[in-house]
Amino acid sequence: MPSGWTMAMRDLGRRALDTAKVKGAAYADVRIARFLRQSINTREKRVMNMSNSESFGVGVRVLVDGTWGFAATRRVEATEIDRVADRAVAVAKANRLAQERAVVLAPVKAVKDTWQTPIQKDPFRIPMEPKVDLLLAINAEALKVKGAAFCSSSMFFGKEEKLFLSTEGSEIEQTIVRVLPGFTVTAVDRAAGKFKTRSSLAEPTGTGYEYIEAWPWMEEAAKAAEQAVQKLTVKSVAPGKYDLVLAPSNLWLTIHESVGHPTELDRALGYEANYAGTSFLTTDKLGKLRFGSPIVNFVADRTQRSALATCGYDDDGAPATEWELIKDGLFIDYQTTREQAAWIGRDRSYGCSYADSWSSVPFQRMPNVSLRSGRDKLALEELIADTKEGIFIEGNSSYSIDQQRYNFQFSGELFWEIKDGRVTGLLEDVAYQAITTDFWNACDRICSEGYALGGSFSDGKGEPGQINAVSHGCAPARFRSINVLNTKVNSARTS
Amino acid sequence: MSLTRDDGRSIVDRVLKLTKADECFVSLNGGRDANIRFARNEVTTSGDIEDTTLSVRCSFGKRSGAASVNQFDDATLDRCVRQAEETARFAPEDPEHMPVLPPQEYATIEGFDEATMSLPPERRGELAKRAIDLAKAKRVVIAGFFTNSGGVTALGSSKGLFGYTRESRVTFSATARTADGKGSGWAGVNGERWKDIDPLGLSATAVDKAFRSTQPKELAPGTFTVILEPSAVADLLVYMGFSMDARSADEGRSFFAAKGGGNKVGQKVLSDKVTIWTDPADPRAPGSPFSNDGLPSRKMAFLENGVVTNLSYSRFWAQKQGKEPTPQPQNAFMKGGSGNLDDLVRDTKKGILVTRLWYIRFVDPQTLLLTGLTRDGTFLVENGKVRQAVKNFRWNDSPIAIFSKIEAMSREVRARGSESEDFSVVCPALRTQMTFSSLSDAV
Repeated sequence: MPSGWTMAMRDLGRRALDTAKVKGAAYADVRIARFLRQSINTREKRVMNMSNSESFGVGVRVLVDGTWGFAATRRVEATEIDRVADRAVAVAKANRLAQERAVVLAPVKAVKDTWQTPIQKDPFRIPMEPKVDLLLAINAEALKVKGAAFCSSSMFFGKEEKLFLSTEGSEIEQTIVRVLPGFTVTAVDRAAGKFKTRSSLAEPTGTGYEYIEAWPWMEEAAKAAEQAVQKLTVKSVAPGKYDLVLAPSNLWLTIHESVGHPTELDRALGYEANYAGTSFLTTDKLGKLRFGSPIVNFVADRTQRSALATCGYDDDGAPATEWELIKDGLFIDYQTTREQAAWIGRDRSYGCSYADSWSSVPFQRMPNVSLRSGRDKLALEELIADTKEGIFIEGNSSYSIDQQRYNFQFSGELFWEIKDGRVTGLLEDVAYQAITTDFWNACDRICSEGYALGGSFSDGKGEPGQINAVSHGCAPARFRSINVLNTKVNSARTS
Repeated sequence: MSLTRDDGRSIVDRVLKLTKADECFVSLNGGRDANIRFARNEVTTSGDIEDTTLSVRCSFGKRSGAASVNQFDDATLDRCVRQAEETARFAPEDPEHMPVLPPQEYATIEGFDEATMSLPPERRGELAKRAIDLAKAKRVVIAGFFTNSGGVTALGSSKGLFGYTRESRVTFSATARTADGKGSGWAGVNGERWKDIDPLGLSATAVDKAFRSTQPKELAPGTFTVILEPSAVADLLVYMGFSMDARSADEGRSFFAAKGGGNKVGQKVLSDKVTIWTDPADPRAPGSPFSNDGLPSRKMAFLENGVVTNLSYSRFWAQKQGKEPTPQPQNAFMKGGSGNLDDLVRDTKKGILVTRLWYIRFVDPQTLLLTGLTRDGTFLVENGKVRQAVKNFRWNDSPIAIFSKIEAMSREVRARGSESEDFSVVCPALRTQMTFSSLSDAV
């Protein structure tokens, strides 16, 4: 699936670098990129939207006297390339007066390489018809269940074709493909004035259409519809402390918010203070803070197959890699870019630079961050059998965490009551609230099997806001004595 | 730079001539977007971007398909139209298909300022430097963001509709943190003209709040009298607005669904004090003269004295229910009272002053229960005075409950929410009740 960048495009890229250098840039990189998107949205028997979009353009980033400048245009042609390279240098020069410390880039090896997401079926080559048929069949299957009133379903596909060139001699072509399928069933009880939803547990992935073909849609649609109806009448949770057994479909989001974001170095140092916030994991805690229990190990990885943040190289031209963030419960490392490595005395970047468009400036974005499975043999069934009074949670819905990543609250799709080692039925109105380090220190068992990836297709950060797609893997895990709220009660803390 | 009216019409006409579809709707949107970011008392990243997107929707009978591109050469336009047509041919018939609109009358709205769109990088650099110099002089650490942008939206249909409008936009926000990281303050605004905003004054407010928010007292969570600054009110208003879709209500899956069937139009759901409307022509927060589908924007009340007067009706749902379709709201206004924030504080015996809300998410769409946190300036008010900082809270509450317990309101002012920063809101500060469910150590 080569994107086939022409010599003319490469020449335009080199022209941008040459112009930037002539105008005074000590370093420059250029990304000529095409972003393709396809979306199909349906509800019940109706296709609401079928659309394709394509955005093409060039972004030029420069360093002048250690200050960044960036400019971008949709017109990828010689005179406009010159104007944009010139404008990027002008922006850098204008910003010098508010710059104290010169940007220093960690070294990378200049490479000429091509990388593409390993996929079996390019979703953009699959005709619309089978996609629409599948979505309408999902809706029909769900609506066969008595009490299921509505079902909406969708597919979204993204493809990034990027050509990166730098004044250091790198020329990197990448094609990155991602898929995002899903559906939501709604059950309504008009007489009682109540409604409940159940969304698919399918996840967005860095794969081709084969992921969609392999997912058991019909089986899940029928089950989801039954569960949505069931949710109208099941018991509301009694607030209090519970042992939580969290499925990967729920825990990935908790990992994302409470581990992924606080280990971003730019947040820790205050670069995101005006928007997403800072981090409680300040640099003085590096190598010292007991983040979680000794069985808790987190790895960051941009090379993991099928994961959303996987690539060959980041948008600084640094190679994708794997490293540890939390080892045996201890906080030991951050996510970095070429610019950030020197901030904590490192001599190489972990390759976390990403821009969500040719028109966006690259900055630090989250790699795939995952919890290592337990070393001792343990299956989900055994973990539940080992739990006296708890809740097993699948899927995710509401999520919120503070700007330093201490206090979080998460909900889910399905809450299964556990009594004396057995699942006794569904509960509703559950949200769990905890302080990040209390929560991870309360992790006492992690399954050795059942590892799965979940992920976010559009994680927001930065100003202007940019999105990032990122996966998080884990096996089911247990957390002891976690505070559970009943969301039907606008309750004060129950502990 | 941005497209002129004639440029816009020319591209729309070229597309309309290319299509063989029964119907076609074309929209163009884009222009220039420039920004500067600073943090740790120095500039970090910045950008200067030109982009315009063309979206085409083609229909054969009741079958529709859409495509968009950002290149306007003949080959790309042709490819875009063919892709939309091909998608339409594969699409099943849409029982809710609505024909494209014929020519409409649009108001002229003054929301564009050339100087704002064209502001050069040197001015952005100077502006950041002034905020940074202020922070350095006060020995705090500042982070902030300034954007200036401008562009056009043009619409056209195969039935002869054409619309064109220009808009400019400026935003500024700053967060100051004390050097020891124990205090944090924020201020922010958005507008249409860069000369209307005061980045230095806003930075000074952020610095002042940073100093005042150190050494916070720990209060036990519970239900409190709160004074919500306009930024916090704006977010709650916008989140409630997300749920005011007539169809969801009529289908029984919204707070605005009436028990037993129908919706809550005509029912009193909030305090008498609450009146909320949209008005694209109000110069305090001008909006576009038309919606994305070409419907002319207009002034419309959603709540009057606590009674639901309107919900949002798509063209299809309006036709089915025998109602007037409602254009997408371009802005939101909430009627205020008298006086300002200081007056509200002065008249408060005991309460919590909240600068802004953060990480707001729905917990229960049925009751509009939201969760979120307070951030960047949360203070205890006693006997009419801001006494001291308090630790930030996580809250679980509904705008319905919060807007039902309003005790007093300031005059309405232009406000910028934290989670709805791109939406133009004019609203008051409020004194009301709010439920805090736990404490957060976050500063």
